[in-house]
Amino acid sequence: MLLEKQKEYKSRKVIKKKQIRRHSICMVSDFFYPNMGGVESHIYQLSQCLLARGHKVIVITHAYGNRKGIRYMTSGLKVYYLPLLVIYNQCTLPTLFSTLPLLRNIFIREKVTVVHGHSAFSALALESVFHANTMGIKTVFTDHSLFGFADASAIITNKLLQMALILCNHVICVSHVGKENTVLRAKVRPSLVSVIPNAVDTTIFTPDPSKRNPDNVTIVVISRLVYRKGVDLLAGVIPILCKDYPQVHFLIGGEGPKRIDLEEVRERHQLQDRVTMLGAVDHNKVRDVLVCGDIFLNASLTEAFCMSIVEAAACGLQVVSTKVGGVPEVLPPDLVWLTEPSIAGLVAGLNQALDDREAGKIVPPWVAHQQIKEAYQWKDIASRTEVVYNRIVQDPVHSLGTKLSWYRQIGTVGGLFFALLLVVEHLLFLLSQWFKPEEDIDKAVDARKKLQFHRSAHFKR
Amino acid sequence: MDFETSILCTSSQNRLFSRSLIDSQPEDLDMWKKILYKKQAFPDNYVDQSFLCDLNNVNGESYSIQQSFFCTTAVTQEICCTCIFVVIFANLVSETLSPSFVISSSGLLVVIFYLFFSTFLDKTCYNLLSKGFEDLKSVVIFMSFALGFSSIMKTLTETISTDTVYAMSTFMFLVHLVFHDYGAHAVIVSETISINAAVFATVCLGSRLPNEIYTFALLLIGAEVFVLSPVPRRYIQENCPFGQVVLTVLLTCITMLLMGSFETPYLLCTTIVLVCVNFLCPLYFVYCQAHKRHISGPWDEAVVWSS
Repeated sequence: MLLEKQKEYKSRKVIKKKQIRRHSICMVSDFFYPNMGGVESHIYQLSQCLLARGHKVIVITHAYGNRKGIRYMTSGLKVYYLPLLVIYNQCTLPTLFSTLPLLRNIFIREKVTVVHGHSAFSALALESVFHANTMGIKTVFTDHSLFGFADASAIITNKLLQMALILCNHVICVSHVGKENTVLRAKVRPSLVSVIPNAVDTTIFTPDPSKRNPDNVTIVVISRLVYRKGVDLLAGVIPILCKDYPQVHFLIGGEGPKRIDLEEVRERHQLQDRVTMLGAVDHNKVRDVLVCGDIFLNASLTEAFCMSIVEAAACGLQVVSTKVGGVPEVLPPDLVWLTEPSIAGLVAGLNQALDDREAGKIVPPWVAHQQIKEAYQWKDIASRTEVVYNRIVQDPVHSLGTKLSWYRQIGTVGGLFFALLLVVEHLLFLLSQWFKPEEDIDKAVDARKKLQFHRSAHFKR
Repeated sequence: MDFETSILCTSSQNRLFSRSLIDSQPEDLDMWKKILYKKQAFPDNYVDQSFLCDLNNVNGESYSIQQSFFCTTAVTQEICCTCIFVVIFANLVSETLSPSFVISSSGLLVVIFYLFFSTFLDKTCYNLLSKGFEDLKSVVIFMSFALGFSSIMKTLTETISTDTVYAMSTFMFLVHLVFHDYGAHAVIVSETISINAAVFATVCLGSRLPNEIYTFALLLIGAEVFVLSPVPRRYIQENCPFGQVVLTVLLTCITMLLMGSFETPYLLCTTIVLVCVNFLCPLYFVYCQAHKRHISGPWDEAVVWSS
């Protein structure tokens, strides 16, 4: 009896401890719904799982057309669509200081304890990290992409990234190659970078072998049809494969400037009946397209993580992919056929995949699904991210002097320039504090709590 | 120190170092693998021995000091040509140089160069007669147009104040020098912008001259210096390094002499610019080669080799 009571007491204590660690998390990125892509779904899924784990989560992004102001999404996920100027590819104009008053207001309103920026392309995310750090809020940054070092745009982006990440409490990358890349680009200490991959919604991406055409082998390609996704390679592979294997059909989903190349190839080799072009595929239709195929082909030239091959594997397809970036880390070797990023390489990989298929040396669809289900779960990703949050809230808040000394280590010219920016930032922060003291800012009511309260009252009645 | 080692093992005073050490203790002594599809008994921020082992830190192509000295000769020549053009203009304005002399002497120079290059060096052009006829046709067309338009050119910017005209043409000459094709494969190189800027400057300056014949002479000289002269100079630069050096020294001497005949401050300025371009810039460039790193690794975009 006594032992049981003690146990109960202990478990209650554990719960209490967990409740103490309830964070108020603010996800910031230029990329969010209604835009669609890897970063957007990552933020959405992660937020949903963190909400389910009892944290408070809000999302900040810029206004998308008519979608502006505050909106609520599933499970009371609050999204701020800020009126910021969009210049290129859904990125906001990097102004550094002009977003300070607005973001400060939101951070105070929502009593934010952790600011989590996403994607190095997003100026808003980098700026929010900068501002949050000035306000003494802990910051995390997730880098979703790989960058080179050679061209001018990469040099500037890398310097800006370095400026923001040096202030960050922790950085998250989606693959080990991404981590190496980020460490080199932003010169953060490797131990401050965690690798937490993306996940897939395995309840949606399920196999359905009955949808396949038993008479032929269908190779599915779903990607934006742009240069970086290797459409040029694809255009070279299609005629060779169609010639060698009369049973092979192609099913290509996606839209982009390179679509014309594929159509040209299709016309020139008269493959209209064997190469189907679907055009843009809605994200909720991707699974329906995937299950029609036997083999999924990814010809990307660079990829930090590659969600699409995980989705395809979850649907039980054989995956043939170029061996670039983080792709080799993503799938177990029995599910993926890795190839060199060239036409000859891809043809050889597809030949191998087709031969293995003939010989029956492939994993059954549901077994593959189970493997993916065990490896990539959003719940798991959320708990791993939570570990990062739990750790960083204990970090000390650094003084301006300490931060300036970090900047001095960056370099003579760049470091001095960034140090100047930091000083201006702090002055502006003091000004905004004087102009609008913290007490004058309304604290937002947690709508979810209220909702729960109303629901319980309703049930009582 | 190497770049990657400097990241990995600098500064024990670096922030949060102690914290990260605690995190990085592996609980299991199993080998860490660079995979994402299996949970491993290591924390997410674990840094393995193999970290950054795929990094290729190639020093890249570096240039020797001779190479960089040689490459600056093209820049020197272009600066000298611009200076000579300006000096000719100044002499035309002060009427110390007669336009007929300028036209005849420069025309003679062009004919000599043309004959020399088309007969001795340009092996590709075998049908000299028909090509010569074509070229003669374009020369006649250009000359008649220039002569016809010189009266318009003369009055085109006449109402604009002299200071503005000088400032504008100085700026345009600088644009010409910046965008000129010196043989480097850079984005900034644009022959079109370069020639247009020079022609614009010539037209601006043309209005300050006493009469139409002067303007015509200036236009002619402008075309010769900025449009025609780069062609044989490029040829020499690519095919005859010795000739390039001789030509550069010759042009530099002429420029210095002409500038010296003017006023000392001009000579001083030219000297400083030429010393900078010829000695300090290449030396600094070679010094910077030591810092050049070509970092490549698995994150690089694959290159499509089209067959």
